[in-house]
Formats: sequence, C-alpha cells, structure tokens
Amino acid sequence: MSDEKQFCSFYLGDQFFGVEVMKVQEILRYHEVTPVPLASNEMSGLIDLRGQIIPAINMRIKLGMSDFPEDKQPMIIVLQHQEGAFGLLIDSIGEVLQVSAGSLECPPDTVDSLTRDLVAGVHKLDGKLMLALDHEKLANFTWAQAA
Amino acid sequence: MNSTLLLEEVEKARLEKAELEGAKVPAEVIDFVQEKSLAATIHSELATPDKNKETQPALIIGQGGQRFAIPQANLLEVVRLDKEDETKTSLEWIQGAPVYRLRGHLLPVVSLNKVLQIDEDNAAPQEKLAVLEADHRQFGLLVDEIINTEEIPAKLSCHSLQTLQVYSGATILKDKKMALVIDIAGLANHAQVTIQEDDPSREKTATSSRAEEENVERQACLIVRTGDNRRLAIPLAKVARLEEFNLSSIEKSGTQDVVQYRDEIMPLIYLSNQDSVKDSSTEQKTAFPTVVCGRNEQSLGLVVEQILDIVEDCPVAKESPEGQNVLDTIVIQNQVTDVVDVDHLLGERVSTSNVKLLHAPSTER
Repeated sequence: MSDEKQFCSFYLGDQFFGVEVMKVQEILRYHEVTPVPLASNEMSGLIDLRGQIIPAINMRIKLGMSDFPEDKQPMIIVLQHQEGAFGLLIDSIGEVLQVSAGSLECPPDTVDSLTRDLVAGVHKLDGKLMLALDHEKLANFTWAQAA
Repeated sequence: MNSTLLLEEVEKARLEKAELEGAKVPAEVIDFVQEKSLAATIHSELATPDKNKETQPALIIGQGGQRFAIPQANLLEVVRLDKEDETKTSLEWIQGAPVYRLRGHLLPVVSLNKVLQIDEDNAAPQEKLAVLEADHRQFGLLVDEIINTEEIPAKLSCHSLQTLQVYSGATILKDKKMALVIDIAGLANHAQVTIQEDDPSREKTATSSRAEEENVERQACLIVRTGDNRRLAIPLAKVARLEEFNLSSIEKSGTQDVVQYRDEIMPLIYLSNQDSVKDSSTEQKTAFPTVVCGRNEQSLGLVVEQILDIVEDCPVAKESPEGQNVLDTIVIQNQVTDVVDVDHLLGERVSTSNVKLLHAPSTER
C-alpha cells in the first residue's frame, strides 16, 4: 500500500494520541469494569464484552497522569491481539486520521520516558501533534505490580 | 474487520458524542451507522462458539461486593463460626494467629479481605469459613458471604491473570456478574500459609513414623512446657480449647484454684511438680496459658507455662498402670516428653490444684 496509515485518534487530558485503525476491534461507551484485587494500578480490571472477558488498561495511570475523575466516564478502545483482545480506557475519541509516513518523527526527548516507551512516533498535524502508540508495546501489559 | 466497518464504528462513536453535544447530524447517517453496528453485534453473539461444554463445579463467594469462585476440587467443607454458641466451634488464637480446629486438626486461618487487601477496614465480623486444600496443605479461608455453587467452565478466560499467583482466570456467572477464579495453591503461597515452620526435627518425625504407620496408632498432640521446664504432650482429641487467664481471675474454692469460665466454675490444675503457679518463674507474667479439657459436664483447665507446638504424628501412648497422671514417656521432636493422662484427671474428682505428674516407680528416670 502507499506510505499512508490510518490512525484512530483519542484524547487523554490535553494530549492527543493515536493507534493504528487496523488494530482496533471496536470502541465502547463506558462499560462496567470489574477491578482485580492485587493488580497494579494501571490495570483497571476486566470487562465483559458480549461474553468475552477482556483486560482493561487505565491509560491515564499508564502514562503517568492523574486518574479519571469520578464523574466522567471514560471511553474504551478495544484492540485486537493474537493473545487476546484488550481495552484502553481513554477520555474521548477523536477522528480517524490519514497520516503519511513522511510526517512521522521520533519522539522528542522532552516527552517523559513512561510515554516514550509506548510511542512509535510523533505525527505533525495541523496545529497539533499526535503521539502514535505502539500496539505491541501496549499488548505487553502485565497484571502484577512492579516489584 | 475491514477498515470500512471500523471507520463506521469510529464514526458512530463520534456521532453519539456529537449528538450529546447538541450538534445536528443527518438522520439517514445515524440510521445507516446504527444498522451496521447492530449487525456487527448480532453476528458476534451468534458466532461465539460454546465449544467448551466441559465445566467444573465451584463455590461462589462474596468479598467486598465482588464475586470470587473457588473450585470445589479444593473445597473440603464450609463452616459457620458462631461465637455465641458453645457447642459450635469458633476461631482460636495461637501466638496471635487465628486457627480453627477441625476434628482434632488445627488449621491456619486466612482472611480473604486481608490477603487481597480489599476493604481491610471493614470491621464486620467474619463468620463464614471455607476449609480448603491444595498441595496437601489445608487451611481455612474467612469470607464475607457464601453465595452458592455453580458450574463454571473447565477452561477459564483471561489466562493473563495468572501472573498474579492468586488467580487462575475469570468467568462470567449465570447472573451475568464477573467472578475471579482463585488458584488455591497460589493463595496459600501468597498468604504464606504454613501450619508448621521448616523444622528438620519435625520432618524426621514425619518420615520415621511413616514406616511404622501400619503398626502404631498416631494422634495429634499439643506440646506444652510447664513451670518446671518439663515438656508434656496433651492428646489434641482431649483438648476443648486454648485460653489465657489472668492471675487476677483465679479464685479459690476450698483448696482448689478455679476460674469463672463460660458460665461455669472451672477447676485449674497446675501441670508442674511445683506447688503453685505463683511460685514458679511466672512471677513476671500476669497471664498464663491454659489448656481446657473435657466437655459437657465439667471442664478442667490445665495450666502451663507455654504452649509450644502441635505435632501431628504422635504415637499413642500406652497406659502405664501405676503412673500418676502420666500415661507414658515418649520422644517427640527428639525430646523426651511425658504424655498427660487427661482422662484420669477428668475422671477423678480432683480436689486440689496441685496434682503431681509422676511416673510409675518402675519407669522412673
């Protein structure tokens, strides 16, 4: 295909992120999340998706931000993966963006290391930057708390 | 899913958001998108195969408002603890740790809310105990609610949960609630449940006894130390309870020391060859451990200096006819231990608290 990729974009706080559309299984309004005792803080818990149990990652905590406010219900992006689908809890969905490989840059050093580990690249768009997240790195989550 | 359908999904979410925000969206567009996503939902419901008809029975319990499942393969029994009623047994405490006696067998007890760190401040008394076994280790688990039993899939979802050793997966119950399935061996490890510490002498007793198992009867014994530094063994089957009394609660009835215990007056017997518990080194202590024996008609409190241990594999002592309140001397954990003749103490109407524990002349050391 051409050197263009489609990203499903979303917001976390005032930052703008994207994941490859091809990896997205679906997008949900907030679903009830069952917490898992003893799991690390970045794991919100488990979601019942039409009978399928999938893990849900709290993307705010994962990227070192403050947790979702009580009164606001996060949306959930469900990503596919060969080892099982998983969900990302996010603030809100943006648009599907067509991005050319040419606009991709390495993340600057000013981006903190937590974020940088998950970011495949930064795309310059009109007036803002989109941090493209690495699907494989996201899929590499673990329930256990860091030792 | 091809990207067109995905785009529609994204579009749908965006439309919903726009709708909420009061923006105008053409009706045909909404219908089109909704139709497509409805089709996708129906398709996935029908397509989910029910391949794994194999199920396993599980006990569903509740803690902190959440559901957990315990495979019945690990479940021995469920007990309701009742602190009010004497005829039902309750939790006892050895050196600060809760234990529960199950037919002569002392089990360590673990509280689910403490192990999972849920709702730890909840002061509600926990009265439901599930007796569990994994890897030949038995223990009791205190929980808030015992809900019901249910057949859950033999093959569980969400294997990634196994990185937390307490879980083996998750499942959705018949009432549509999510339950985390507990891995009992993992839970035991995590809670560091051990009824016996690593003790080489204990292991020796266990292995040597196995050879004689067919010939010699075994029983569990409580090992205690008396004020005059003797080791005594009290068959656990004769023990009703372990208590601690204050020196201040000892009263006198005739020549006997007694305490008021559970609506009765219980005589005390000092298991040492000294004359009184007050003479011995217990001067520093104000509380002394007491092994309560006997049931129904009359309890008897055997006062000791310290409760040392519980040993599972004690040879049953033969009765030594001329001994006084001592059945026999045996070696437990490589130390000489006298076995107390509890039946004799209970049977005889003992009128004094200072009972001598002596061997028959022929076996005197």
